[in-house]
Amino acid sequence: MTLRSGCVPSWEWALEAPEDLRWLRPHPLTIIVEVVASIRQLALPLAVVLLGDGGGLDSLFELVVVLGPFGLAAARFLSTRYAIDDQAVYHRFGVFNRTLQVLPRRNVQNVATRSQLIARLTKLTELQISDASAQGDIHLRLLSGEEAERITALLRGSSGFAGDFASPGLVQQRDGSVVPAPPRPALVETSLGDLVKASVGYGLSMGSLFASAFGLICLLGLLQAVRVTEAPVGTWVVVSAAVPLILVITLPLAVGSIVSLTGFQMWADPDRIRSEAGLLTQARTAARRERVQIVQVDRQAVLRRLGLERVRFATADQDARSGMVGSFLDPAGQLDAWPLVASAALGTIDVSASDLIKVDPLTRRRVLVRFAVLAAVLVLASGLAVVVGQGILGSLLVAAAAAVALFGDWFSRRRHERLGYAVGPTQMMLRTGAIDERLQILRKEKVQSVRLTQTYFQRRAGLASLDIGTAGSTGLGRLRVPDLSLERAEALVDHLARVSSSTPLKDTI
Amino acid sequence: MAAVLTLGAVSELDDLSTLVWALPVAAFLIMLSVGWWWANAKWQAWSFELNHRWVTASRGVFTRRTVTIPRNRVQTVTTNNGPLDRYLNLTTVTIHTAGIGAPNLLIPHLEDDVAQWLRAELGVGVGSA
Repeated sequence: MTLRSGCVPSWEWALEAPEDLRWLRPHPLTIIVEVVASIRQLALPLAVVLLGDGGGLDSLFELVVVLGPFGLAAARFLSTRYAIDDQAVYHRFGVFNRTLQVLPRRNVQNVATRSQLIARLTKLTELQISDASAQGDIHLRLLSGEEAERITALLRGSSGFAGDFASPGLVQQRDGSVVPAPPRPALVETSLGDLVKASVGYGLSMGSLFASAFGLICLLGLLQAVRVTEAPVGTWVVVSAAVPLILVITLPLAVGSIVSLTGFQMWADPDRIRSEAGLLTQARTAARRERVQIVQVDRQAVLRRLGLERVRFATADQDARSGMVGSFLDPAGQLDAWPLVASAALGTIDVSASDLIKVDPLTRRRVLVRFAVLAAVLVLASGLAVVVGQGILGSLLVAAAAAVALFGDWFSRRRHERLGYAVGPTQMMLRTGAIDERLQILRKEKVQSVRLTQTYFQRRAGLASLDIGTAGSTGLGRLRVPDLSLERAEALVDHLARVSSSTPLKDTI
Repeated sequence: MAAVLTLGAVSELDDLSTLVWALPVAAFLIMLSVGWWWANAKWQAWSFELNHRWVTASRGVFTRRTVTIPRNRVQTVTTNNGPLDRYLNLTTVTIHTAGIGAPNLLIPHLEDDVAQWLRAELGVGVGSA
């Protein structure tokens, strides 16, 4: 491990800080609750030990099985400590693997308590302190009710999340007073016809993808069956095998989308986006505009033919994205109409498709190599088929290899044409997808992390791929710019990190 | 060395019993050599940089991955010591950012002092950049 230049160690301060902490332990009754929980999991082995062989504890193994939960619970209790100072919450735990969690108080997003049945009987509670990351939550189990309330009050008062925003649906007037926002007409109202077309088109795109793969396998299987049974087979057999596959995948996707998005309406309020929809269960969601991380425009091949596109967005709030309704700005928008609805979420859009910069041309070579390998494998297989006397299968495999090679050439050209990125004053746009096109627009200030990856072959070609992380990446496609030249990729990392690091944290989740 | 030993053993092969002990020994030595090379290559590839604006970590022998996280985006810092780590005074530091999809930054097997300093720099000083 190397410590590169630019580091300014502050050893004295860092080593003194933990010593000032007042470490606390969970409530002692935690041992009892943990033992009961362990016994519940070990009920069967315990019963076997206690009831078998006359019911006595006549071996060391049986003694360990019976007393193990007590020992483990005591060890857990003794190894768990927590502390809170004016900067952060500290949590130390682990019997064998010791872990120390540090959660800065200004990053606390939520504090929740939970009491299961056994904990309720002992008047204890589990405290969960959450930040915006997926794995950084601190679980303090178990505390007395009073201690949990004390910590909750302490953290709520210092949270960077609380009190930063005016109430949703209110507008601030020139004299500073806040009044309810006047009702506005919906920015987006989706007709049933467009929704059905978009849902079926989306389902067909996804269904075709899977069905193509399964269809190929079915075709080879059928050909083999015909060879063995020498029964006549027509095209209809293959079609009858592939069509149900497409329907099985397409129909649930399309019907699910129609049922949940019927009557979709979206309002762009001054401070938030509201939407409602639903045929059977009506869902209503609201998202604060400043919390929107990404807007994504999906244009599957079938949707493009129908002149439609689907516009979605993501925030860092997991609950807001739990339903389909809450993730859509327009589930069946007209093609190229996305800037209007996207601006409702991101503000004025300062990047456009005409600004897109293509990735390095060497990306074509990488794709061609992959298809060439696949074609070579097929040719090799055809040779083996001929050797074992399967002439027809060998011919088919050669034809497949030729098709793969031709498709690879077209795909690599198309991919290079479509892949691109654009960097505007405040936003960034990525375009991916050779067949199913996808546009992603994000605010640069929302970038949480940037990952630069170079495979062995990319290193040889001087290329690199970028993965951009935001708090709302999940649920939408990942933000990836593949096969940039290394210099350009490093410059982009530097630019994004500078913009992100110069934006205050409380405004950027 | 393993190959030389194997060749030597096979050339001296007069019965099956020689092969029975020579092959496992050769396999063990080959695995040891490859493991030593692999561990060394991984160690050489690991590095991290911390400045006043961001923290960056690189890793990967064949595929190189470099993650850059602005310091004011750090949500949580977790340190982890296994039994062997504790014996060797080593600590693994994981830095989390907001969001499930965002890549976390893992810096494995730092010396305890360096890990403690890094945790303190990133954990307590967060948001001050």
